[in-house]
Amino acid sequence: MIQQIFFGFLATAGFAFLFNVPIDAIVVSGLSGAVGWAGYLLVMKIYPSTVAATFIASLLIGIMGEIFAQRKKYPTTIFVIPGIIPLVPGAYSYKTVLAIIQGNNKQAFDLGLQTIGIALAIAAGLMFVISFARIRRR
Amino acid sequence: MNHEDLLKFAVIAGQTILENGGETYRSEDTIERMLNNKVERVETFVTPTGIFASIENNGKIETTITRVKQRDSDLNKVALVNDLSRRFSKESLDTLDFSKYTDELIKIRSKGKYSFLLRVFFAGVAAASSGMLLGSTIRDFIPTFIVATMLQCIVTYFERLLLSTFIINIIGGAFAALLGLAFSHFAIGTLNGIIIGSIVTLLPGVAITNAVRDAIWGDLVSAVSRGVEAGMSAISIAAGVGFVLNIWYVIGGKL
Repeated sequence: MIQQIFFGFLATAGFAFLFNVPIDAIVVSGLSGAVGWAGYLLVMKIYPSTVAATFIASLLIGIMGEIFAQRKKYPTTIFVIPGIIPLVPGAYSYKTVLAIIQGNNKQAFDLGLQTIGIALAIAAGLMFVISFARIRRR
Repeated sequence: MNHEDLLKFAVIAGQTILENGGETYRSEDTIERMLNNKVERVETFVTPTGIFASIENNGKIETTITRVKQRDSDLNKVALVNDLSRRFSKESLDTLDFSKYTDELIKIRSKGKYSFLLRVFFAGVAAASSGMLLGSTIRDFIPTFIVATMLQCIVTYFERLLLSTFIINIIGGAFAALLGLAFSHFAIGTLNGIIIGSIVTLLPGVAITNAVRDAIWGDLVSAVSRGVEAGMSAISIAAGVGFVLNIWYVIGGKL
């Protein structure tokens, strides 16, 4: 578990580098990725559903992003984009394609639905945070 | 300094944000914030592919249209322009040192990214660690790292040729699948683990996130077009991977 959270940190920080995030924000955005992934693992343990876990993780990443954005005076995007990427259902869309190639249409359909569900969960999690952050700012 | 120059300057600032992975509402906000206390009325309409802005002064309306073609993700520039626009919005028209701000904006626009080697290295780290999160084993870490670094080199090369993103994604996906097959054939790592890890760097994370944010802000035109961008990239990556794996499957290789 600790190892997984550490990899969550590394992945997010690596993406922050790729997206050219300013140097003093990289560790912080890695941190928000690690917290998001910890939430994901926790939910998976209590209630093993990828969609629910992804929703909680993107919620956490959104909240961390808003907090850090206010502290560091950077736009929220800087922390949210690198954190979200490990959640994006690349693995599921890949497996869908693989199933289509092998002629496994039923499995492909199931996996395809999973992919869409995860994408919507990310969207819903972010939407929640952003909408509430907007109220506070007024 | 006249109003035309102000409008031009603000639109270039907005364009910089849009070109480097900022949301459309941020681009609109930036232009409006910069001009609000300097002209009588300012209206903007920004989509992911173009900026329309007009200002009104003494009953005279000036409008400009800017087409935005290239899109990149360079969040440092977004942060810098955001900061500049906040300072600019506090200046009043009489005491404004305009050339100082234009010089700063030109400097921001010409700023480079982190060095090539560093970016390639961190692409490898990011891909290999994401692979670990997505269920590969520790045995896949090194091969994924190698594939992802090579993939990043290739993608950077093709980006320099100004190929369309979809072609780059197809080539990238095919390349990752090819190397994945090569590594797993000699039993260095598993096929699924390597491919899932290394295509992570191609995924349209920026487009997905921004599509959601644009939808919430009510920019439905932008949200739909960003969503289409994200969907197209995902499909083209899958097409690249699928193409190679399909050939391998047909010629009798094991998946």
